[in-house]
Parts: sequence; structure tokens; C-alpha cells
Amino acid sequence: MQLKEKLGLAVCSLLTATQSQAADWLYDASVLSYSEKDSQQQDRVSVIEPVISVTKQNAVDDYVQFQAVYDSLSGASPNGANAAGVQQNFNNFLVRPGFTPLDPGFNDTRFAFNLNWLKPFDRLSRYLAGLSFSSETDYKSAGANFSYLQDFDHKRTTLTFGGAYSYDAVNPHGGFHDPFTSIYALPATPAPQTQTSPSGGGTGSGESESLFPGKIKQTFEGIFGISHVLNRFTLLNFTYGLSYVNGYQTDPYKIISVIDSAGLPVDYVWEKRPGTRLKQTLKGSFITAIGRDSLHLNYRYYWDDWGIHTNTYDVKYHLGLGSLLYLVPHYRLSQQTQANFYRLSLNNGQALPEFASADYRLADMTTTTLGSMFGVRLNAKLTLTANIEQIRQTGNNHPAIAIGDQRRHDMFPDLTFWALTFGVRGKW
Amino acid sequence: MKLFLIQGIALVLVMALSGCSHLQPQAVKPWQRGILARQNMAISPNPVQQGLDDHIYFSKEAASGGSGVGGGGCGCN
Repeated sequence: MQLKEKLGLAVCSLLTATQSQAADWLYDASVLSYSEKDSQQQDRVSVIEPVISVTKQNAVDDYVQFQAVYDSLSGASPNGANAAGVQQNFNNFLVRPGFTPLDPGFNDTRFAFNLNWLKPFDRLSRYLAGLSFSSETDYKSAGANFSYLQDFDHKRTTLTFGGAYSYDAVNPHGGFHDPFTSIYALPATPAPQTQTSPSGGGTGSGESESLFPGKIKQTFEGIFGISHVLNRFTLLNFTYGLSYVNGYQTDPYKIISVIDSAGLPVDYVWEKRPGTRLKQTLKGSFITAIGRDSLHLNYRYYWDDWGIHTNTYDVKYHLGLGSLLYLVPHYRLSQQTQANFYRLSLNNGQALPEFASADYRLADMTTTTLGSMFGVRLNAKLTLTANIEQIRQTGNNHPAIAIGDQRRHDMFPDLTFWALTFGVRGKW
Repeated sequence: MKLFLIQGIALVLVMALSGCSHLQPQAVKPWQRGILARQNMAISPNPVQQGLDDHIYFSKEAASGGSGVGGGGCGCN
């Protein structure tokens, strides 16, 4: 997770140990915004996300960094139900025939804070530590991480061992729902604030005195990395990450269509996901200088015990245009396989599976990103940046498992949006 | 198709580089690290932008390997 990026910075500070004297105070502030629209011309989520990062750098391998993020999300988000040839009623909104149901009430804000520091033990080793906290109206998270970095071979090679822990609480608007119960069922009576089974339903109250109300999810992470200076032009970096998640991982807002033999919906039920997840990643990075430019090649293989496998390729080219301007063209391709409990829908009258979700993010999917960053170095202490990217998600519009009415509609509308970021960074 | 395309591009790049000194191991003295010290040679030259991108992917894909600058939290949609 984020630990990897922090480690990347920490490793890099070592590999570039000949860097000239570091600035005392560094700042980096950016604002990201995007508005999604799918191929059915339905507006989805809009996001505005400002970030500010301030670093007090005492030496190359000695800094303290504070980061604050505000995240505002609003709009409409797929609720998991399929498009159908009839008007669909989801209690508080209706969906016209042929359109993928979107819950129009999606609205949330998030504040997140990170504190990280890198300190040397001695000339060849150091540690990176961090604390994090984030809060949304329906989600809270607190975490800590620690990594040890050891240099070898005249600082050509660095080994990293790290771990992280986070404690998250999910507390959805409207409380929790029993899995596989109809969305038309009367809501359960809110119970006093207690922790319930990880994947079970039960009840949960949105009202609590607790700092972490709701159902709990804990994440334990470990990482092993090796970085190597291949020669004067090239860096190599490999990491293996292991993450074990235990607790509530069901999306409390997602439902599944229950269809009849004609493929038409007869009901909608709440989804249910497993209470544990073991995730692993292997990532390799190849960075090389080409004249004054540089080429960054990254590959990540991800797999987990939910049956998801992902291949992600990322290419960036840092192109200098004189001493003031630079461009960073960027292409990313990520292809994932579906979770083993992903269902397009459930069949009425058939036995329920142990777990099921119709969340499109757990389906077979391809995400492509194409864009570029533009940077202007106004002076030695101030750089302005603009980043524009088109992100596109595509899936199986007409899967073979669709039946009857489902075959007449798009089961996975493509999603395309432009993400814009404006930033300023420098030192004082 | 896209997968083959990007694999092909990567292969061509690596083959092109393999003919030069960029892929040949070489001892690097401390005073030979000027190129490696450039900002565009950092593993993550734009960490805030990278974090923002990772947060988008974290909220819209099943896999995660970079949850964003927020350091936890969801911000999912």
C-alpha cells in the first residue's frame, strides 16, 4: 500500500546519497478533480481532492514529513443491480429500463493525515516509521508502519524489511443489513453499539460514542524489498508484499439482482463477502537515464485468495524540454480477473452461495490510463505542475452467463473520465 | 491486444537498452552518482501525484498496491 511509496522514497534517498545539500523545508500541494461518465451517458461520481505535504529535511536520510488530504466525493455510484427491460424500484429511487442502476445519493468527505519520518541508525542503516489517520462519515482508519533499511556493497544494494498495521471501522449510513435479505425487507432494529461477525449482517448503529464505531477490519502487512544500483544510469527495485485483512469487507451499499428464468429482476438482496483476504504483490521497477531524460518501467503482479489476479504495467518517460519545462507522458494498463464469488446476478429459487457480490470492481476488468504531466520550473524554489489523464475501465458488456432479458442490455457500461491535477512544489 | 502491445514496447525498449551500457552491471563510486541523484531518477519523482493516482486505482480496482496519499481510509465509490 502506501508503505511501498514511502519505502521507495527512503531507498531512493540512499541510492542518491551524493545529492547536494537538501533543503530545510519542502512543500508539495496538489488538487485532483474528476467527473465520471459511463457509456450510457450517465453521470457518476465527481471528486475533488486537495493534498498538502510538508517535509522538514535535515539530511538525505533524515526527514520528517506531514501530509493532509481532503477528499470530497458526490454523485451516483453503481449499486450492483443489472440493467433490465423494466423500470426498477430501489426504495428511494427509480431506474429507467435499459440503464445500469446508479444510487444517486453517494456523498462523502474524507480527511486523512499522515506523519512519516526517516532516521539513520548508522551510516548503513536507517528506519522509516509512520502514523496515519483518516475519517469519513462512514469509515475511520488508523494505522502505523515501520521499516528497516540496510545497505550493502558500498551502498549499491539496499534490503528493506517492513510491516504495517491498520485498524478500520465501517459504519454505513442506514446501518448494516443481513446478507442476502431483500432490500424491501423492513430495516432491522438498531442494536446497541457492538462488534458483530466480520462478514455477517446483524445490526449496527450509526450512533456511537466510540472513536471507531461500526464493524472492524484489521490489516496486517509485510514487505520485503531489494534495490540495486546496476550502473551509473540504471536502478532496479523489487518488492514482495503480503497483506492479510481480517474483518468486515462487505460493501454495505452493494446489492445483487435476483432474476427469474426470463432474466428479469424479481428482487434485490444485500451482498456478502468473505471476512478474510490474503493479498500478495510482486513488483519490479526499472529506471534508467536516457541522456537528460529518464525512463520508468514498472510491472506488478497481484493475486489474492479471493481468486483475483492482476497484471499491471506502467510506463513513464521524463522528458526535459530545456531547463524550465518538462513532460512526463504516462501509460498504464491493468487487467484483472474476477473474484471467485463475483456474480452477475442470483437466480430466484436457487440455493444461495456462501458469498456473493455483483460489484463491478470485482469483475473481469481492464483499466487503461493515458496522460501526461507538464511541469514548469519557475525558479530553483518553485515548480508548477499540471497533470491530465484519461482513465478508462472496460469489462464484459455481454457475458455468456447473462440470460433472457439480461442479454438485451449492457451488463458493464464502459467508464471513462479525465483526471486533472494542478500542483505547486518547492522549498523555502 | 493491449497487453501484447505494451509487452512488445517494453521488450523493444529493453532490447534497445541492452545494446548499450544501461543494462551492464558496473561498480559505481560515490562520485559517480550524479545521474542517479537527479530528481527524474527517483523511484517516485512525483510522490503526491503518484499517491493521488494510486487512490483512484484503489477505489476503482480490485487490486491494490498503493492506496494513495491518505494513508488508509476508503474514499471508495
